[in-house]
Amino acid sequence: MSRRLFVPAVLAAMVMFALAPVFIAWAPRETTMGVVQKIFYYHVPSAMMLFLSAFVCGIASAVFLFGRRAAADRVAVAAAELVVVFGVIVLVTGPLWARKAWGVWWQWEARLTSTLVLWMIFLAYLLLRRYGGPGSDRLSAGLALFGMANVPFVYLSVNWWRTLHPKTSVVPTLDPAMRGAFWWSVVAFLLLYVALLAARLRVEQQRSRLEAAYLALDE
Amino acid sequence: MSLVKSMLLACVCVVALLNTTSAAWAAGGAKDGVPGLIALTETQPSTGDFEPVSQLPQTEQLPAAPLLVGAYIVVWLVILVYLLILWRRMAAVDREIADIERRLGEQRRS
Repeated sequence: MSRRLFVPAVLAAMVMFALAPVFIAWAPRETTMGVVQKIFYYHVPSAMMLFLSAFVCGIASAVFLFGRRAAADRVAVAAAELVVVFGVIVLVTGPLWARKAWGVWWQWEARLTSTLVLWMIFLAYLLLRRYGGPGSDRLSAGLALFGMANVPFVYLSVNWWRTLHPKTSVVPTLDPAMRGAFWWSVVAFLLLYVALLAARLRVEQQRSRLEAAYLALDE
Repeated sequence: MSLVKSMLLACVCVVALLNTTSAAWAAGGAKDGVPGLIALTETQPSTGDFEPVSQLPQTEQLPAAPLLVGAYIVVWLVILVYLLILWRRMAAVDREIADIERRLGEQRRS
């Protein structure tokens, strides 16, 4: 399944990524922030993939925890790693935008801080998997549930608290001339996400195969 | 195991409750004038000393292009580095599988 998904998703994502800067360049220049606002076209889709991946990891962890399915655990590990990867993109592109728009690299306000906490929860998940020893799979699955429960609060934090960060109304009220480039980027990131998840899943499947082979060798 | 599950569910509920009550407190502070963070920031008088960023002299303005290009480079770099890591991991696991299958085959023959 993963190989069937991987090749077309990678090809489509590559084509869409190559064309994205063209659409982004055509999109109108935002009057208040100027050209730096174009970071939006990569920053927001990355954040969407971060949230999506946290949900995938959380749901897969719940299936593993309550249904004892090893395949769900493999999906959870792959998704947790992608939360960290897309989190790096969000947490680096955001400050680059903020430096110009707000005059500071970082502000300890609700959205930024909660995103950092979310990223750290999934980093803790991976560290637990790597160094936790026996039983760490169930412990990290519990941690993933906390990570997933945190996502709605990160998303809505901009509406609940007074923050420097723009509110959730930005995307629904986006200028029609900017929508094409934005949704193009979202689809490109989504395809990239599917491709990376399929590839990471394959590594986990091969590792399970390897463990089974080692057991067979011992017997 | 059922105790662990119930404890886990209880913890998730407590975190959710804490988050919603603090959010409601902040939102209520803004609406009703309760001295929350939002109410405090809203009542701060404007000093009138601020100058819009767009009206700053050219020499004091931050150039946007390096930040924009930097952000795009970061995105590509992170994705490419991760792809490279995945590629290497996959190659290492495949190599190890081939090796162990060869050893299994030898074991069966002997």
